Amino acid sequence: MNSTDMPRAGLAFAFAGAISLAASAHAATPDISGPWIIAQPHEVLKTTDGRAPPLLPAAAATYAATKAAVSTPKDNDPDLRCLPPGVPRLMLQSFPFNIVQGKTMYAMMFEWNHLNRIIHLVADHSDTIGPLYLGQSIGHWEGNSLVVDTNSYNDTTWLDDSGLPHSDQLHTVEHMKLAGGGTELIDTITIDDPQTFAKPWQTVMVFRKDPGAIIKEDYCLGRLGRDNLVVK
Amino acid sequence: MPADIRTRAALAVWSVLAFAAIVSVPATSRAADLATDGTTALAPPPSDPHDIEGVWKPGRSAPPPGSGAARSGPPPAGTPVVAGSTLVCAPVERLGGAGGGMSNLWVVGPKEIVMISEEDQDVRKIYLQAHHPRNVIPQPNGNSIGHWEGDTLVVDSIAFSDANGKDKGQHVVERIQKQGDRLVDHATITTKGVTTQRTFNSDWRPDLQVWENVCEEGYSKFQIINGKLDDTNS
Amino acid sequence: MRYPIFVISAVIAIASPVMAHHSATMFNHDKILPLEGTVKNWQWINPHSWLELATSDGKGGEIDQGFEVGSPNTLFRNGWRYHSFKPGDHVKITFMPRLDGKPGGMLYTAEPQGSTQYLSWLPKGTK
Repeated sequence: MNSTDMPRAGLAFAFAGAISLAASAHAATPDISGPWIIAQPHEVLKTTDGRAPPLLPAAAATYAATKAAVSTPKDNDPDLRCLPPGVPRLMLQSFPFNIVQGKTMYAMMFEWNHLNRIIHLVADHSDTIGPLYLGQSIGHWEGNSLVVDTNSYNDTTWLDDSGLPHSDQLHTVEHMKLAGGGTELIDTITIDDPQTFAKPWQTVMVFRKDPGAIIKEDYCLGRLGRDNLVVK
Repeated sequence: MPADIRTRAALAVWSVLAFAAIVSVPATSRAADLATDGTTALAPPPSDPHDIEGVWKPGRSAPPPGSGAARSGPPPAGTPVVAGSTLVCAPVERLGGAGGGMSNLWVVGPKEIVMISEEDQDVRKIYLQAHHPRNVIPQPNGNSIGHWEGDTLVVDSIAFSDANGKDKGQHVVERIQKQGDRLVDHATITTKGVTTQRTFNSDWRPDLQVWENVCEEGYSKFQIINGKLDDTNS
Repeated sequence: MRYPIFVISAVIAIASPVMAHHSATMFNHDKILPLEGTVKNWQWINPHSWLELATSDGKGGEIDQGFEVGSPNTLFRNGWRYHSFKPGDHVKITFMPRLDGKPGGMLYTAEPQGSTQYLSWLPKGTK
């Protein structure tokens, strides 16, 4: 290019960039406010091709021990103590949630023990206060899919109601997209935890619209009848 | 036009557009919520009076009724909890939001504005609609509807539950307005014919994040055996 | 942080005197004592984080002492971290002792091993 072509090329490129930025700033983002509820509650997560998740041998032993302890005095299900169920288990519960779409963040407001997940609309994670039950989520739109990237999980939660374990190396990426003319929200979640699983794997959660549902202030310990406590 | 002027003009336009592109992308990171010494100036809140989204830290306003009572850790072993007592980790009314030096996170959506108290993750949900739903169930934070009157968010709340889950007959009208770096909430609280006025102030804190605060964690050492808690882990 | 709150009633007042305000009854705020020890456990947990130290009993032996401190949300803003202490670390602390004379207390300041950071979390004179 000679010295007069480069400024023109630069101008054209910058102009095109400015137009596309303006367009994206004014494009309507999909309304994913809900309220939503899991369409088919299921206790055991399977991969998208219907298989059991690829647990590493040590994690498989932990899973077996956890399953054996269910409904015995040694049941160590954190949800019996009303600790946060973690991700994605929280979304698999038969309780509604809605999504408040703000300017700088989205708030997923769950009925289950009035928990929330905040999805910050920024490019990078920040340092956190420590490992978190629901991790730290950042999100952005790719076309009509909301991509939610979450890390900084603690290792105290189960991935599903059956006790599927994970470590604090867990990293999840969700693609959330409307379907069925807006009556469904489909969340395809990639679970990546090299300490627990031989490779990353995916599962799909389908939420259906729960029209008119008012998200209540659920009090888990009261709901389980564990509010009046006798401390031995 | 001489070539050198065209070049400079093109570079100038390109620079302006590039600058516009850079400042319009989302921030690459938020404040990591490190301790501040109070001398670093904070970025002011957005100028749009309806944009109250972000972290607001309650100021010196008195804690709302129902909270701020005796605070202690998990009860020592042997302490019985008498039936009818206020319940472990139950949600409480959060008109002013968090106590204990913690903050509130406001998220402003098109249909709903929510305030998340960092303390115990209690929530207030303000539906941007004209009427309360019929047959609304009494809850600790009631049912709130809101609308804007100019620069003021007017919030009307009913159906606050008492310790037994019954409607305590409380009606609250709040006028919430951003005033500089402060969110000011003038509340008129009427309970069974008696009216009090309270003001809740909170300060714009873009340097803070609102983190998880899991009340039940203090009880996580306790095992649940036969429906009772048995501390066998400590 | 909200802790168990008991309805004011005659029965409760008799049955659970321990439900009075924490800092007023359990710890002596007029005494701030120094101590050194080896970390046995550090729990970053609500409502109070917890530092357990192995300390000298003054007779050539060792006793474990537990010190409570704030919730992660309040500590974080004063520079404390989830990973501030690891088992085996040597740490110097100051603390407010228990009024009942038992070992342990409420942590006031700490100097984690290998750090020049001097952590404190309560303003002086806090009651």
